[in-house]
Amino acid sequence: MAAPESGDGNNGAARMVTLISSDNTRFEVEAAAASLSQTLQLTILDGGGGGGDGIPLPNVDSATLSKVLEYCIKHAPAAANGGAPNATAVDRAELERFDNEFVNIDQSVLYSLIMAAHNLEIEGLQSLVAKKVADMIKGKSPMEIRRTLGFPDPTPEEQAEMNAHMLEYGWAYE
Amino acid sequence: MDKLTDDLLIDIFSHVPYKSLCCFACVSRRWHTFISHPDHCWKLSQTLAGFFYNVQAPEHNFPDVSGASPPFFDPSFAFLPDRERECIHLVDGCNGLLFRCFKFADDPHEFDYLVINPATEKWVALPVSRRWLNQVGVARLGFDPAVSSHFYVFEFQLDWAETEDEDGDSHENDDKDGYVLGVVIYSSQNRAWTHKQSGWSSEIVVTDDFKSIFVNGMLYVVASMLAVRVVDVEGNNWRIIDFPGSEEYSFFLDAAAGYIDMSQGQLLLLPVIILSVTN
Repeated sequence: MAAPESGDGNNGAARMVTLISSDNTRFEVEAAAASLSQTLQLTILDGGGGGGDGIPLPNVDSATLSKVLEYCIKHAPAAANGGAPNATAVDRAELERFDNEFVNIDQSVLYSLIMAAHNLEIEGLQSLVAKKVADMIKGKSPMEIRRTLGFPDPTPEEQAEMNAHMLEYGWAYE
Repeated sequence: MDKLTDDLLIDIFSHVPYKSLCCFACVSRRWHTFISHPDHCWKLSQTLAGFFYNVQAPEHNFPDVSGASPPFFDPSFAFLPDRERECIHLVDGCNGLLFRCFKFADDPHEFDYLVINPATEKWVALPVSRRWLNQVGVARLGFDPAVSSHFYVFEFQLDWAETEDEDGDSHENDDKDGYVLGVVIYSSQNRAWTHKQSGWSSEIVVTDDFKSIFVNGMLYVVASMLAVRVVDVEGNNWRIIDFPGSEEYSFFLDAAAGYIDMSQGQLLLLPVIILSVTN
């Protein structure tokens, strides 16, 4: 299992692993990129995911997985450098630009990403999507937040409770 | 998005300032319960109502940064009876409780401890412990409302090193440093002081302005000798945590001048490093 079975034929080509989404699409990706997932890391270290085996991910659909892997591939080199302490400012700026653009997406996609990042325990991605949601609702009123996140309209009791809490925290709305 | 699990909510909420959390608490019943739950509050932004400082004791100032009107606390301590307000010295503060001592005007060597809740204007005077020395700065308050409504006071007992002069008379050393012999701990639950011998293996010197923080029932003390000392509220568990990397560096680390504090569930230690230039 140690010998790479794909790649561009160079000696020392990166080891590849196969991930299988919930809708049975196979994704072949460098082990280093897939290892950004704490959940997958152990399996991959044990030699899993290579060849015809593939690692099934029953909770992640193909659209979401391809988005997750886009993130992992971009971030893998920096992660391999131990968080890239000696990365140049240009590298860091490029990653930041990528991250900003990466989360500039539809809310339903964002929601799937949150769940996948959490399932796969990809720390950087978890933080990135959580921050995106935080930025979406920061500075909004409680009703605006409910609308932004697609909460159902409050029942009359819930509305009364919200009003009482808003009185309590009135100073926060200046 | 209304189905986010608790773990995900923590991730999201930890990215916003306290003011936003106040708005979030009004979004739904679940978010309100979640944000006000004691298990979560340490992972989220904390409320800063204001802070004390004094330019010249016993006058205190309290800038209120919460924007509340009127300011929630009057730093003149007008609610204390006159006697208690004399010669007051602010010793420590911990999670909203203040720990102060006052000296009696007629006997400067006698003093008492008061624990005050400035928000409710309630206060309690502690029963007098056996005084080992007339030094007020070596006591610390431990209070963690997320764990218990009871507070603790740790009063360190120092070896007030005695020296003999040429005539053979022993007298107290004027040097303010002293080794820690033990600690007497007051528990507001038992309303009593308990004495425990020091369990720290090496001789520890604490000065009367040492920094400390109370977390999870443990008092973390930044004392001398490149380490943080830890003691629990029972006085049974004594530990020493070496400064990271203290063995690798030959520079002199003045630990007593370091700062220790807590933010979002993590202890932060900021040692003041004094580089001594030698050959």
